[in-house]
Parts: sequence; structure tokens; C-alpha cells
Amino acid sequence: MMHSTAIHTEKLTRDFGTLRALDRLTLEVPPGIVFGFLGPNGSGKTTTIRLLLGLITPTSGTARVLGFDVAREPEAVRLRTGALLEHTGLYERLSAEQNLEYYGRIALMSDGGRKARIRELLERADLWDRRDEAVGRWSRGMKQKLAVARALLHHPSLIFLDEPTAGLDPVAASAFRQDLVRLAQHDGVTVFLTTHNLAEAEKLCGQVAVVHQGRLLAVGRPDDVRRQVERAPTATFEDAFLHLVQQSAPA
Amino acid sequence: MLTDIATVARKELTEILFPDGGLRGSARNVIVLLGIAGVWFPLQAGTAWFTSWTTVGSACFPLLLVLNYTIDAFAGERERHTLETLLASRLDGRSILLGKTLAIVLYGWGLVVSALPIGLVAVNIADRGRGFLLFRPAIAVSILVLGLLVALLLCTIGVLVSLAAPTVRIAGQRMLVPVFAIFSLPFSVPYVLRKLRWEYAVARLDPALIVALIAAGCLVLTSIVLTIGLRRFDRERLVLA
Repeated sequence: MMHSTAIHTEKLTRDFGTLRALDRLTLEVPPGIVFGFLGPNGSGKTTTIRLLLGLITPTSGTARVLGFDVAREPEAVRLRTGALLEHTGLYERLSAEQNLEYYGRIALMSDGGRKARIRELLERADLWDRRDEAVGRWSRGMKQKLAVARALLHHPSLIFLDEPTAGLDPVAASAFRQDLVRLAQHDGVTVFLTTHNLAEAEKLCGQVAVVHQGRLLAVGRPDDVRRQVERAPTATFEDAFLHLVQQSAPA
Repeated sequence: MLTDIATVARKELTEILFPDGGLRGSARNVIVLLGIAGVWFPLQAGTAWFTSWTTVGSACFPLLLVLNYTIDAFAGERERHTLETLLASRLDGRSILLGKTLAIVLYGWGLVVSALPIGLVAVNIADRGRGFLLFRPAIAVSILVLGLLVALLLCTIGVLVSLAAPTVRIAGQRMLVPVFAIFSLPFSVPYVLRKLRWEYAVARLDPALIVALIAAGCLVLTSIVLTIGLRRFDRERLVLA
């Protein structure tokens, strides 16, 4: 079922002691796009994903993911979303197939449906022939592909990807980006992606949000964000991003 | 919830039994432990293995092997960076906690049960000529029941320690105290009884009653530890630890 917004946050705030990691984030993510959540290290990107998955609770404010309140219905959110977090989360002593079997059972997929879906995803990722190998022996790129397959296993309508191309070589990263575009355009999956690879975000994302020190600085299409900066028309997206971040820094 | 517990337990058991994709990794430890508990101890005891109440304690020796797995339950997932992804799934905390505990309990109790027929054969071969001897029924039942309850107690304590520890090493260090306390009971309890001058009164008790009291104690302690563990299972605390 397609919701009018995939994610809606209203003044979402999270403090850790005296540190405000996220400051009144108000955001709407439409369904069926690749949405880039950009910011330097420590800007609140991972905290935002954790809040949206219901892994941590907000200090104040609200968030709804696919229509469910993350504080009151976190299980409903996690049932309908997939996630590739900072680490792949793969069990390296298990094979690719065993990893997917485990998460397929967690998602309460039927035996037949699970096996067919595992085959489909592994074939699509060119990993079917290596499905019986212990994942620990694989390259980082292969593990990332498997982790994305795991996130998509139960046909979620929204997936969270936390810096998914970090550590990938250019060829693997490019192939990964093509897969993400296909996901959004052909499968209608909303992809919420955090990255600080600005070139990647500009190519990949239908919309972006820029955060720094927990505050939302800009949101919109990459071109719109670039034009928000009153610079020469040749200002790049990276220029715009740096300008926004520098402007928001305390004097 | 039962399905979820079974899902977690199944995956944990797969990792315990096939750590390198085959049986070789776990077989070595199992063979050594079963060799000690199923052959060496019984041969030392001889036919008394089937009739003496001290067999009930010795038969729980294989449970030492489960300690490694209990301290790894959550601290290991944290170290291997798989815990947050697991917490981001639809599984609720009870299913994860109980599933991990169940897997390790089944493994440990499986070892205790497996050692019994091995000991049976070993002693009968060593002491041929008296016909095929069997365990006294009360001894056999006590081993099975107490083996299960001690496994349950050790596993719930270990998993609780693992839940709070940032690393497997720290979980192992913290686990030393309860393990030492439990395994020193056969020495410390007689000492305390002597000091209280209760040794004769206790010696007159039916051994089956003593085993029943120990079993009841294990159950009570397990319930307390499990309750604490379920209350302490907090997704946010685990993610941010």
C-alpha cells in the first residue's frame, strides 16, 4: 500500500545528556524515491535512522514511518521496512543462503515464498553460485550486496541505507547505485539513504536533506538545494553543501 | 512468539554446531568433553557410576562447555556488529533472549544426555562378567532433570551477563564469579553444614530429596535471573551501549 508520505517527522528531537544530536527535525519524504540525508560526521544521520526505526526513542517530537508512529508502533515500522546500517550485520560464519533464511524466517515468510525470494535476490545480485560459502570470506562489495538483499527480502516498501557505498571500490559503488535507482524506479521502494558522498547524492537522489549538528539546513531536489545558495550559477552541489554547513557553524 | 523463539534458537544452534560450515570445528570440543564425562569419569567410578548419587554431579561436567556460548550470546553479537541489525528486525526482545538461551540449553543438555549411554557402554565393557548393568532409575532421572535445570541456570546467568557486557572478554570475566560460586558448592556446602552441625541431619536425608531441593533451588534462581534479563532487555540501551 502506497502512503502519501513514506516518512513524516514533526520537530523530532533527540538529546544525549547535554548534547542535542537532533534538533527539531521536520521532514517529509515522499514514497518511491531515493532520498538522500546528507551531512558531515556527527550531524545526526545515524541518530535519525535509529529514531525512524524505533531503535531509540525521541526526546520530543514525533515521527511516522509508512503511517505508523515510531514511538508507539515500532514493531509495525520494523515489519515493513528493511535496513542496512553502519555495519552489514551479516553472520560471517553462516553462508549467504543461511543468512537470508534466518531473516526470511524472522519476517515470517512462507517456506516456498522465502526460498523463491532468496533465489531471486541472490541471482539478481550475481551471488547465487556462491550461496553456500561462509560470508566471512567474501569481499566488502559482495557483503554489501548480500546485506541489501537481506533488507529487501520481505518486500519492504521502505529501506534505510546508512552510508552503503562507504568502503566500496568505484566499480562496485557504481553498480550499487544503479541497483538503488532500479529499486526506486521499477520496484517503487522508497530508499532513505545517508551519505557524505555528495557526487553520489546528486546523481542518485530525487530529493535531499542537508543536516549539520542535528539541524536541518535545506531540503529539496539537489538542483533546488544548489540554487538556495546565492552564489554564481556555476556553483556546484558540493559548493552549496559546504556553504550551508559553514553558514550554520557557530561564530 | 514461539515461532520467533524457535527461529532464533535454530540459527544459534547452527552456529554452535557448525561454526566453520561443518562439524569439525565443534566436534573436537565435544569429543574431549564426552571423553571425560562419558568415559574417564565413569571408568574411575566403576559400577558405582550407576548407583552413587555423586554421579549426578559428575554427569553435569559437560555443561562447562556451554559457558563460552552464553557469554557470547549478546556480547559476541555486539563485537561482530550484528546486534543492531537484529534489533532492527521485527523480533521482540523476549524472543531473542529466550531463543538464544534455549539453543544453548539444548546444546548443553544434549551433551549431558549423550554422555549417559557412552558411560553405560564404557563401564559395562570395563566390568564385564556381571551382566549388563544399568543406572538406578532414580539416578538416571536425577541426571536428566538436574542436568536440564543446571543448564538452564548457567545459561540464563551467562546470557544476562552477556547482555550487559560490552565485550565477550568482559562478559567472561564477570561470569567467573557465578561459575565459581556454583561449582564450589559441592565443597562449600559440606563445610557450612559442618559448621552449623547439620551434617548428620542432612546425611540422614533421602538423596533423592536432596536432589529435588537442589532442582527446586535451580528453578527459583533461574526464574529470578530470567525475569531480570527480560526486564533489562532494552533495545535503546543495547543499541547505544
